[in-house]
Amino acid sequence: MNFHSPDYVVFLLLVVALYYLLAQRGWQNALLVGASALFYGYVHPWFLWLLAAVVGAAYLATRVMEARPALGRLALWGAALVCMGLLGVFKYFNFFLDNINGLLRSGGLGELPWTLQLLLPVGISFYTFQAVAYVADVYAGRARAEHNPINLALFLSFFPQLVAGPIERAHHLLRQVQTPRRFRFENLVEGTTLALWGFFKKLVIGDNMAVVANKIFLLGDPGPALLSVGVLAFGVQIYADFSGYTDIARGSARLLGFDLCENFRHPYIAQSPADFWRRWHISLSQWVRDYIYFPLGGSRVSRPREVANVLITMFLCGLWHGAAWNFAVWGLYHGLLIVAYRLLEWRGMVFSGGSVWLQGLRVLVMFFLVHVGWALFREPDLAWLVHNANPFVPHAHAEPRVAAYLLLLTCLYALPLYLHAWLDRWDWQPRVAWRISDWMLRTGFATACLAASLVLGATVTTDFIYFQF
Amino acid sequence: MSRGAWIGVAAFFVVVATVPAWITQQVAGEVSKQPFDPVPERLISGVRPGYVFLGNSMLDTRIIPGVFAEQAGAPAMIFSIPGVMSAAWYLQLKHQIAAADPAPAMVFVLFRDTHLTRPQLRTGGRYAKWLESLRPDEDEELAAVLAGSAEHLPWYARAWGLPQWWLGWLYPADKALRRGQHWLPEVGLRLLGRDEAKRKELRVRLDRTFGRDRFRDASGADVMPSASEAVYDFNGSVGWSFLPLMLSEAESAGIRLCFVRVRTRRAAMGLPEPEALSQYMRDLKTWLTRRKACFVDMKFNPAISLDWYSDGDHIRPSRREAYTRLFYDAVRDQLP
Repeated sequence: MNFHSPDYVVFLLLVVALYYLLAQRGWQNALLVGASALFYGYVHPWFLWLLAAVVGAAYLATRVMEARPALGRLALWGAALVCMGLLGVFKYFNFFLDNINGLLRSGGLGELPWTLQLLLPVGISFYTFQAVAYVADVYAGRARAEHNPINLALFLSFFPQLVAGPIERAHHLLRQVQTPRRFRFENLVEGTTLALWGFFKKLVIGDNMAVVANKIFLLGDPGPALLSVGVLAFGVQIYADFSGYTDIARGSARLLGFDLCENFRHPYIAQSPADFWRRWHISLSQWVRDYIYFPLGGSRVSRPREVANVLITMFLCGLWHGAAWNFAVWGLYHGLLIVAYRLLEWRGMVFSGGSVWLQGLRVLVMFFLVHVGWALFREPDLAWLVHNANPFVPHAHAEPRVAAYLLLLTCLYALPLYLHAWLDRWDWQPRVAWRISDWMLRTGFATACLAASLVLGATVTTDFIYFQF
Repeated sequence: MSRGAWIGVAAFFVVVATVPAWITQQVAGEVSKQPFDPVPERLISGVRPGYVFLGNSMLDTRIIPGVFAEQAGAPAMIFSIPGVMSAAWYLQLKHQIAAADPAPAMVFVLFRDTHLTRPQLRTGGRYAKWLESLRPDEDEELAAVLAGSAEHLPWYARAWGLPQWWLGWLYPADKALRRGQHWLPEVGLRLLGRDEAKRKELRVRLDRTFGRDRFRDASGADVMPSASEAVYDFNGSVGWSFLPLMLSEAESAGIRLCFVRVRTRRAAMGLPEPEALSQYMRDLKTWLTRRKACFVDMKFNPAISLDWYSDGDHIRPSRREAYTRLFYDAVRDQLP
């Protein structure tokens, strides 16, 4: 079920109404597990078997860790194997097979006969990572094993964040699952406002920018000017799309009294690659930091080893986004950026503070570097990208005036995102203190978001980009 | 919570729910029906083709009319609209093809799996705009099929659809977006071009820049992974589809209809189809042949291999001529 379908609106209203009719937390949790199953199995009921396998593996492993600590390591590896095995089979099997077959063909050795024709289950990258984090946290003593399977099932399958995150941790979401939640009108108002802002970002900004970016990336020979606008439009699209999804998820959860973690903090005003990853897909960057980078030794090792740790972590982070080499290259590119900035830091350069002009310059440089990365992320055909980025060869479809117009259009659509970042510097968010000014601001904001989504959106909506990951 | 706070919360929801509804209805109210497109009817009357093809991108990425005409010995024309399905084919047949004088002897409809008996597919959003341009006025039969196909659904499906219908009525976004989507692009045009002549020139440049001839091969993928294979009961759904109306329109105009199931990428990958779908296709064939329409199944034609596909279920341009020849071989026995 898609967040931006009428199905979801009806579904959410029904779930919220039923949820608050049930007074006891246990019944509320059971209702949410059922609702999550309906949400996830709505189109493909067999997806539920995968989710059940992940929940079962996490439950069994953590109970074994608690009951028989000596078997803890085995249980950890067992659960990780189930989760990563499912991810590997459904997401990466054919990718690796294609690459092996490519190598075999180039050596004149024919091809392996196997191939899997499987549909990639939506959200599998998110809930498997959440399950692995939970099991690892229990193993490391950072979290306690949940005894109630309903609670654990809810933690791992909570529908607002099931298919595209944020990737939650036990100390944050599971704790909320375990504690009573009471009805608060503030939650309804805040949740509605947040979700409507998410709809606005997705439907008005993301979908309209998708039209611009998709058309430019379809051209045979657009040239550097149009390509640059296409990349910029894609940068706006992916941010509006994914952060819009997150806001709808957080808003939906808030309606039910849950607080999901923040996933974005104005990433395009980052001043360094490390700063960017503290602002972009925060729950994933924290996951790779805690469960890949730190176990590899992090920065508490020799400098060459630290560099290798960064590159390995970012390569895997890139590959997480999709079973294709352009995602791996994108991850590696960000790894190289982090390493380059770190090398400069080791030589005494500082990438925070300073005058406004200096900060602005850093933001511009980082903005450019991030968008070079988006070009690698968006376009799998590297030869096409290199050819069209080259200003010294003629380009058949180059149209400077069209590029100027589309650049202007991209800026117009991106304006609310920058306005939001600018307002956030002054902590403008209205409080639900029921002062008349706060009430007017929040009501006006939510009303404008909904009205604009209904009138200014694109006529063809696209799936959320991160659903495919 | 204080009394004032209660009022504040209630007012929040009332304002947030009603003001956007009012705005959307105002904007939607000013959207007029797309004018009827009479060109296909005139073209058919002028060119007098023996064969006309209907379909979506499954058609225009497969058939070259000139190649088919050369083999069949009579002019052929294609009228494809990207993405549309049976509702549009019915309207095209009724208002544009059967209305031509003389009408063609045969009309081919290229479709995927169960799409012929799923009348509501692709009738909203931008497709609604297409449908409007295919009928001079309101089409009662169209409305009746769309409503009727909903009526025969089980009670729980209808109950689920009721609040959605109500939301659609309260917030007619489909129509409002058709008008509103041009506003910001128009602001951009006005900022760049002060006078109408300059804006017009920019519009022309935009259209030229993004003409289909400039797109790369792998463009405009129309992939419906396994959705088109979703199994339906043919005999239970045909009465609520456009098929009976299409056959009746064709019969009145002396046209023979020929429905051709195309080979999808999944079939070319060697994936078997569910037995229930095979049964559905047998029922469809029986139903059509009893009514003197023809049915040709190209789904399992082994000559069309995976390397023929560019993206999704589309055939790459370099294979279209060969595809047209294969198509001719497949339907040759059915030609008048």
